[in-house]
Amino acid sequence: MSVEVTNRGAFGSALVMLQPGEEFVSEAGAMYRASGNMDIDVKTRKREGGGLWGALKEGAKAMFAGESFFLSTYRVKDNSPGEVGLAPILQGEVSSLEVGSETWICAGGSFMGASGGVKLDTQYQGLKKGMFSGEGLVYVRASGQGELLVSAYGRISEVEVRGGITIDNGHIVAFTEGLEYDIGKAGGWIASALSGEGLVMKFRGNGRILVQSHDRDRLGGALGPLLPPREG
Amino acid sequence: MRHRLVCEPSYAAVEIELSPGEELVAEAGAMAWMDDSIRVRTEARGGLLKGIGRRFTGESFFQNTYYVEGTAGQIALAPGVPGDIIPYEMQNEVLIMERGAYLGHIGDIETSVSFEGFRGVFAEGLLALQVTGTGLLFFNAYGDIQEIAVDGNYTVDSGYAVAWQASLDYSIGRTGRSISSFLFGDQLISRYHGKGKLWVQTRSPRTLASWIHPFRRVKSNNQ
Amino acid sequence: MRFEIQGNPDYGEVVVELGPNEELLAESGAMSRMSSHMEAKSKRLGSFFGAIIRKMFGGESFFVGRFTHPDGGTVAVAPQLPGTVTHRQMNGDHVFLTAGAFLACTPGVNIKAVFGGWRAFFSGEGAFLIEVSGTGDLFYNAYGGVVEKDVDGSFTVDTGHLVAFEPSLQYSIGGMGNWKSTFLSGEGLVMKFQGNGKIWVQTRTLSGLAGWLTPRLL
Repeated sequence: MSVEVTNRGAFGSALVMLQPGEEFVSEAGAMYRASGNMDIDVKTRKREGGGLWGALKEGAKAMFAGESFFLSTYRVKDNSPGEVGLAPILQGEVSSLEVGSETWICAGGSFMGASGGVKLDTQYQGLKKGMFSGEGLVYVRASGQGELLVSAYGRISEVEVRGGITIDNGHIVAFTEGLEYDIGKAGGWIASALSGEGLVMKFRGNGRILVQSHDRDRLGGALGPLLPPREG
Repeated sequence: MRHRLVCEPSYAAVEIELSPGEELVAEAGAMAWMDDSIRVRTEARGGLLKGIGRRFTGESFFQNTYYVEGTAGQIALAPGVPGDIIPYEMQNEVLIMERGAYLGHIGDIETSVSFEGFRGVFAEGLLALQVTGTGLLFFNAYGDIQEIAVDGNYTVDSGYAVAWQASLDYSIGRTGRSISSFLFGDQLISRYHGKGKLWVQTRSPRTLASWIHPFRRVKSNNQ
Repeated sequence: MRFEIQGNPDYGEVVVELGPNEELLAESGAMSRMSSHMEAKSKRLGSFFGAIIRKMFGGESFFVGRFTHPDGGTVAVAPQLPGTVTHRQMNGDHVFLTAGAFLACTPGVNIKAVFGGWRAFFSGEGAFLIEVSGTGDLFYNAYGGVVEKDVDGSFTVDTGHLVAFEPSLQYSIGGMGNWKSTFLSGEGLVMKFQGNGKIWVQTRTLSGLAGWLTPRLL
């Protein structure tokens, strides 16, 4: 199996080449091209427990929050190699991360795909709950061994924690497990409401953090009102 | 006539210099900036598409024709969506393209709207454009454009096909073993066979439409 | 203050290192990351027009974020829409920006809302103009790429594609041509410039994206 990540201009994509017997998983909507011998198996993701995501309606909401309700599994049908092309929904870069010595936590909407040996926990509840947890704080935990593909809205860069770094929630792509963090507001209630800043995560300790240059919610907030209203 | 692409590859616009006597036909709304000597005529040239389902009835296709009066002048065309622009020399051929991919053309080219679809229960499919003739065609994509020389079989999620040569046969169907027609979970697939060029984009308009859904205002009862 | 623009031309963002008590003012919601000790406050910017100003600023809030700390620190800001970010050193000169183009500035820079005319107002285009003057650093953004045009005579720009222009240019806002052209042509309002000076245009518009997406909605 090999994965080729291409980031050309503003648009990233990944081409996954599979040998017979190998498996790759992705967000169901991520596939944009595939060789004729690719078997694509779409299945629902099991939602155990109640909590926020129990009902189908909540599942649909999760999907719109960036976490697909469906995962696709790719395998070749015959005995020759095959390829599947994966891309995110919005414009932005794609990065490949190694899972093994590091366990990664991906923000909602950032998870794009993973090789067969990666264990995905798509209902990761381990995130500390701040006052506003739940809404918009959908995370996927990737452990095990293999390759993880993440996508961003914008450009991906890695930042250093140093004395402490505060990251607006809409700009988090992924971070390694083990980092300490708090969830809150950038400047306190009123200042944040007025300055338009949303939820932030304050990180401390050791680990790696990947951020994205732009925030999907700001695009949605700008574009949504310009479109015709929808039915419910 | 000269043309120049700017801000490639992802936010490309094309600047076209017209001399007296030359005409540029472009998708309505594509003009971004232009010199003073440029003039415009508006016509519904693509024709009206009737009767294919509620969504498409009456969908029309407006094009503007630009020309210069007096001195040569420059006009820039920009698509509505981020992505590449491809200037393609057509040599007495037929291309079929996704409706939103058409930007403009110069020369002896005709465009007509057609419905290329999977006439299943949901009447999903592509509102496509048939482009015929000889000349210079400008088309754009949502995202990166990849050109695939099909020789045999190739499968693309329908939302990602931008344009293809009419010499290719294709059929539209669904991915197997899907549970329901539910947005991402069930993809409309185009299977191409034969020999010809296929242009694929790396982002899907339909997926963007699904993503933006919760950000739209909700219709109130008295609308 | 030191700054670095990263990610141009596709995903421009500005990373600013502030010295002790130095301030950065940034548009609403622009902060993407900052040193944890940095303080985010708010400040009301511009002159007084009440509720109208929210619309005039094309959705950008009247309030801006204000970032500062006695020990200094780092703050990164990004625009609402992706594209090229430009820095302009203000030295007592003036420049006009469309409201949506403003990203951030230092406190010595003055921002004044300019009424773009009733046509622009009712069209809903974020074509509102702000006049920037004073001394300091100005950061502005484009949706997509930026092209600089040297105008000597006349030039027409679709309103949504305008980013900035020099005050030496005169402008008027109108339709494209005859009434049929304006109504059917799909072009929104256009701005016709006269004179001598520079104009900065962008290669994408939010209304263009909305128009392209509308027939594809569910």
